[in-house]
Amino acid sequence: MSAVPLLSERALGSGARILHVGWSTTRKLFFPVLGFVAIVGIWQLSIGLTHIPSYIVPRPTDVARATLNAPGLLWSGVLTTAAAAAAGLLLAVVIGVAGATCLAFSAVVERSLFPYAIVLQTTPVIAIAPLVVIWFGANIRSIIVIVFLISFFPMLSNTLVGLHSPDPDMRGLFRLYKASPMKTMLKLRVPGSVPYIMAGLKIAGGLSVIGAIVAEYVAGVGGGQGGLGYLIAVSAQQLNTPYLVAAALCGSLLGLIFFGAVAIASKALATRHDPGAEAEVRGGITGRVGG
Amino acid sequence: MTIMDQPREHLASAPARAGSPAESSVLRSVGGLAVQEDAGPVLDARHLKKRFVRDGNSLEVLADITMTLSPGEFAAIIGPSGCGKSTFLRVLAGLLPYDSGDVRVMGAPVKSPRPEVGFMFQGLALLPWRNVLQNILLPAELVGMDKELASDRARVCIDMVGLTGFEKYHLREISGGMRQRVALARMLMTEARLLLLDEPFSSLDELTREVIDIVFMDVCLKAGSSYLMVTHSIYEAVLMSDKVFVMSRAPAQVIGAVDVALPKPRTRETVSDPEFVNAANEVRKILETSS
Repeated sequence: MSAVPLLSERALGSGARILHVGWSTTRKLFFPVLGFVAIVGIWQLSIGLTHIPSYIVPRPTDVARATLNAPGLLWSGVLTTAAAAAAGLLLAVVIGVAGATCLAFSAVVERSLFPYAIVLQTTPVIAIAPLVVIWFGANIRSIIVIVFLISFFPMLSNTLVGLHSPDPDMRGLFRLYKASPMKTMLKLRVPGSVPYIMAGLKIAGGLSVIGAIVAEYVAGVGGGQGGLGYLIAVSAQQLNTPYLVAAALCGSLLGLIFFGAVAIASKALATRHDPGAEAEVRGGITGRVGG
Repeated sequence: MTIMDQPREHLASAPARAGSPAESSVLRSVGGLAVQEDAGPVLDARHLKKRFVRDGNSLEVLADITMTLSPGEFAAIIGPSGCGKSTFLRVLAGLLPYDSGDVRVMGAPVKSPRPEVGFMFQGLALLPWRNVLQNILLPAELVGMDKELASDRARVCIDMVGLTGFEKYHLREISGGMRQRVALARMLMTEARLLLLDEPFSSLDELTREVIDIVFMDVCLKAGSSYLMVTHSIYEAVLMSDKVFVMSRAPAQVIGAVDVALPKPRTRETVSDPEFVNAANEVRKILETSS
C-alpha cells in the first residue's frame, strides 16, 4: 500500500508540463491551420478568377478590408452580443437548476409542469421574439429574455435527469438513516447531478450565442444595442456582403469562445467536485492503492 | 434517544436507562467502541410473508420465514438466484414493508429503518464525490450526530477497518477491497448491532475477497455486532458464519440451517479444518435438493 505513484504525478514540474502541453497543442493545431490556409487560398483564387462580384461572394481580402474599415462597430457588436448571451445564459442556469430542484421535490408537480417546459422548447424562438419585444421593449432586455428562453430547457431537463440519477442503493442508504427530503436533495441528489448540469451547460452555452444573434436579428434593436445580429440584418439590407460575412465570422468565433469557456469552467468544477474522475479520463489510475 | 445521541463519556460508563428496551444490557468498551450486550436475540423474524403486487398480478416472494440471531452471532443466507434473499434483507432493514408475521430487532418491532441496523448494499452505495473520511461521516451527518463525537467515532472506525492514513483519499484512488472497508466503517458509525449484507463482496477477486472476509469478521467481532449476509459462495458462507441458512427457490423458505462449530476468530487455515469441509458439504447437499 503506497501512495508514491500518485505523488510522483503531482511532483512533475509545472514547467515541464507546460512545455509538454505546448508541443502537443502545436501538433494538434498544425493540420487545422493548414486546412484553413488552403480553404482561404482556394476561396480567394477562385473568386478572383471567375470575376463573381464581391456583393454576391466576397473574397477573403474583401472581408478583411471590411473588418479593418470599421473595427470599432464590429467590436462593439461582439461585446453587446456577448453581454446579452452571458446574461441570458446566467439566468437560464440559475432558473433552470433551481426550477429543476423544485420540480424534483414532488413527482406530481414534475408531471404537471414538465410538459409545458417541453412546449417552451419546441416553440420556435422566431415566433415568440416579436411578443417578447412588445413586452420588454426594443432593447437588450428583450435579447436577454430570448437567450434565456432558448437556453433554459437544456439546463432544466439535464438537471432534472441528474436529480433522478442516484441509484436505488444510494437512495436506500439515505432512507436507512431516515434522511429528510431536504437532506437527501442537498447531500445526494444535487451533488449527484453536477455532471449532468455541466453537460446541460455545454449545450446551453452554444445555444446562448445563437439565441442572442437570432434575437437581435429578429428584434431589430438599433442604437448600439443591436449587437452582431443587428449588424448582419443591416448589412444584408445594404447588400454589404463582405461586412455581413465578417459579422457572421465574429458570431461563430464568439460561439467558440463561449463553448470553450463553458467547457473549461465545467471541467474545473467537475474536477473540484469529483477529483478522481479527471485522473481516470487522463489515462488510467496513476495511484490506486491496494488492500 | 439512541446511544449515539449521548455524550461520549456516558457510553463507556453509564448503565442503561430504566424503561428502555435495553434495560438488561451491560455496556462495555471494546476497541474504543461502546458495545451493548443484550440477553435477547438481536434478530427475531417469525412467519414472515410478503407478496409483490404489480399490474394486478400477485407474486409470492417470501413464503414463511422464521429466523433468529443471538448477539454476536454471524450468519449467512445462501440460495438460488432470485429466490427473494435480497427482499428478505430489505424487509429486515425496514426498507420494504411485509405482509404478515413479525420482525423484531433488539426486541423492538421493525416498521421503518432503525439505527441499530446497518445495511451494506451490493453496489456499496458510496458517494463518488466524497473522499474516504467524508463517506464514513455521512451517517453521522444524516442522523444529526454531534460533530466532535462523529469525528471521534470516525477515527475509531477507520482504525478498526485499517484505513488510517487514507482518510483524504478519493474513492477512485483506492482498490475495491479498500472501498469495502470504507462501506464497513461507514456502517459502524451508528453503532449498528445488526449488520445486513447483500452480497457485499461479490465484485472482488478471489484473493482480495478472502482477505476482506477475514477483516470483516475480525472487525465485527471487535465491535460486538452480529451480521446476516447473503452470499452465493458456499465457501464464504461457511467461513464467515456460525450458522448457514439455506433458502429454497422463490417463494423463499428456509429449507435448512447448518451450524458451523468452528472457533472465532477464523483464519485462512480454517478452511482446511475437517469441520469446515463437513459443513460445506452439508450446505451443498441441502442446496442441491432446492434446485
